Amino acid sequence: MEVENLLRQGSVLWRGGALYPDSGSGIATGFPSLDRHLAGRGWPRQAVIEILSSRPGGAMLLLMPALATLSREAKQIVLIAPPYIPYAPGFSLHGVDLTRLLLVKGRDEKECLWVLEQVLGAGCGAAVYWPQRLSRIALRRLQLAAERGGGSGFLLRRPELIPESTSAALRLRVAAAGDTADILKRRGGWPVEGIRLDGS
Amino acid sequence: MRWLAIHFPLLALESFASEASQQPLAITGLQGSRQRILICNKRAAELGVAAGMRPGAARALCSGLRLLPRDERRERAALEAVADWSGCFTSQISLDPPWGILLELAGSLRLFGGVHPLLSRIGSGLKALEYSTQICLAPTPGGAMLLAREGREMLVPDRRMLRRVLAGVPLQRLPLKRAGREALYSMGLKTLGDLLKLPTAGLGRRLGPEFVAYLERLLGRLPDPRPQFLPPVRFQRRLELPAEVRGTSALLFAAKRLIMELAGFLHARQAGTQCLEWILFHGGGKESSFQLRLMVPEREPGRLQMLLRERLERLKLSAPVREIGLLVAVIEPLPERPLPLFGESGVSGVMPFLLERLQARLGQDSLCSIRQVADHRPERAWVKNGVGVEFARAADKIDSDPILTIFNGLRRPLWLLPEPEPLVTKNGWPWWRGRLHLEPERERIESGWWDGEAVSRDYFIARAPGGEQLWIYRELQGARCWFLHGFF
Repeated sequence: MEVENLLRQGSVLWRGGALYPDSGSGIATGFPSLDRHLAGRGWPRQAVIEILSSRPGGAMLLLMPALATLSREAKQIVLIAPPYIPYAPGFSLHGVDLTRLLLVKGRDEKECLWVLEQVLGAGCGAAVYWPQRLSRIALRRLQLAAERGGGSGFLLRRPELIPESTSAALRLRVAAAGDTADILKRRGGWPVEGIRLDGS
Repeated sequence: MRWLAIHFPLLALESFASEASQQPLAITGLQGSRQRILICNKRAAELGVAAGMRPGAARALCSGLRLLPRDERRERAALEAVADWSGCFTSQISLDPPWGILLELAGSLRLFGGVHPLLSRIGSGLKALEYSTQICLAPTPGGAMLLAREGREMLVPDRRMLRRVLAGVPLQRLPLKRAGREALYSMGLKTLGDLLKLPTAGLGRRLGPEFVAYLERLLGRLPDPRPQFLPPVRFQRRLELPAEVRGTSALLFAAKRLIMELAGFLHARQAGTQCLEWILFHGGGKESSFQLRLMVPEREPGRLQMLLRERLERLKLSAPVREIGLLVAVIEPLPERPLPLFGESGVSGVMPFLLERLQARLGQDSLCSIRQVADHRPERAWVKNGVGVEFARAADKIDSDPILTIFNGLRRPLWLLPEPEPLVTKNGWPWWRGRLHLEPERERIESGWWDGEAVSRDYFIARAPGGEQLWIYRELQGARCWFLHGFF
């Protein structure tokens, strides 16, 4: 009886082997093969997502369809201290409305994390940051801010020197070529490897 | 006509912000031909200082007493500041120097829902400005001010009642020449009421037609036009601090009054501002300043204070501050509805506030947006935009950008390097983490001969051994070197 109640609450207890019953609450990634493996059929909202990749600038390409969708819904997108110049023609070609894109630079990592927490907490659609080091506490704070604001925080990181466990809602690894992804951690599911990323 | 008279009994003292301090303070000025204490603060009064004392005597009573000469210009400025602020209640404002302001409220009663709601708003506003006041509402400006100065804080509904209330005012409060006043005393008259019982013709003979006209205006039988206060279009205030301030939190506290006054000033003009310049006076002629910039014109005092707090948090005071000044040189009309900054999404209300917070904390240049430019040269095909009202307006534009068409069918990377990086070559092949494989399409860009920044390049998409896609080019002139320009 107890267990059934907990199961019904969904977020407290999940049944192994099945994704959450909730469908479509995420932001479609633009890659149906990936959406299939994500609870909510897309990038989770109100959550921090870690994407590991050795691609220069991180796995930004993977985010483009979702950012385009959000920008067309007039949601604010914030890039915090990107490693290179976000190239306006490139972003436009992917359908991102540049008027919704804001770039913020901070003096150091501490300030950048402060900005990320602020923008997530204030309810922007998506915020992207490229952290070098990230403490558990900082990650937890970001998670809380995202829950408060309702948006998604993307942390694009290099795969080296990353601790094995994470409190992020979702952790992905994307091949340098950008054509396959492994889900290392997700809510409501086991890790999945070798997802082919074919555009929709 | 409903005139609200506001009298500031302690303005000589309160125009110095030091009044609030714990330090005993007194204002001196001429009384007849002698220097006397005109007024002192509570702390000084507790130590026995009183109005009318000689400065020397007062100092003898209280050694730590700070004596300041009365500063009429400062009082006038304070009065004008309050007049500016009261512009949010009516446009009919008149100064009644040295210590009074008159507001004609008949036209504002309906807007504010009647006399009582309006007066309570004015009252709480005055309280926030931290001046002591005595107020009175009456049908004539002269009558209202006379009663306010008497401390008769009341609402006088009509002229009949006004006459009855004024009857109790002692004669020495009226602008009578000494001879006239003494003549009236000798007749056994003490109050205005006694005077009004006399026939008007006789009064005119004894006291002059001017005084009779004054009485007629006082009672509303003659019109009493008042010069209208015309507010300045720039806001400029200075406030002396109670004590030298070394910490920014005390500064924030002092800035509150300036922000309140600014809010009233802006409200009166249906305006907001995007730039507040704060000037800190350190004494010895030294000063420093900083600007608080806003995304959209703003006048809401709570938000201005919040932004100032953010800004002050990263401010390092170079020296203790003695006086603080606020200058707003440009004001902008503020539409009734907030600007639709980020569309109709739930975010719209939140983001502009957030942007200002970020800007206040990180500095003006730390936020930007990007935009496409119709130029074939890759490094010229984009520009950085400041984030401000233009950003907001651009966001309102619904049409898609026509510039897109020049990139039809072309691929462009997500990331551009600030400067193209030379690539090493091995056996004639460009290398980056290994030998690069070029995709077959080549895009020739030759452009810019007209402005001296000509480029002449063949662009390729290249794949590194690990699979990363690079945007590289080969110079068509000179050494025909390879360069890395961006990443996909």
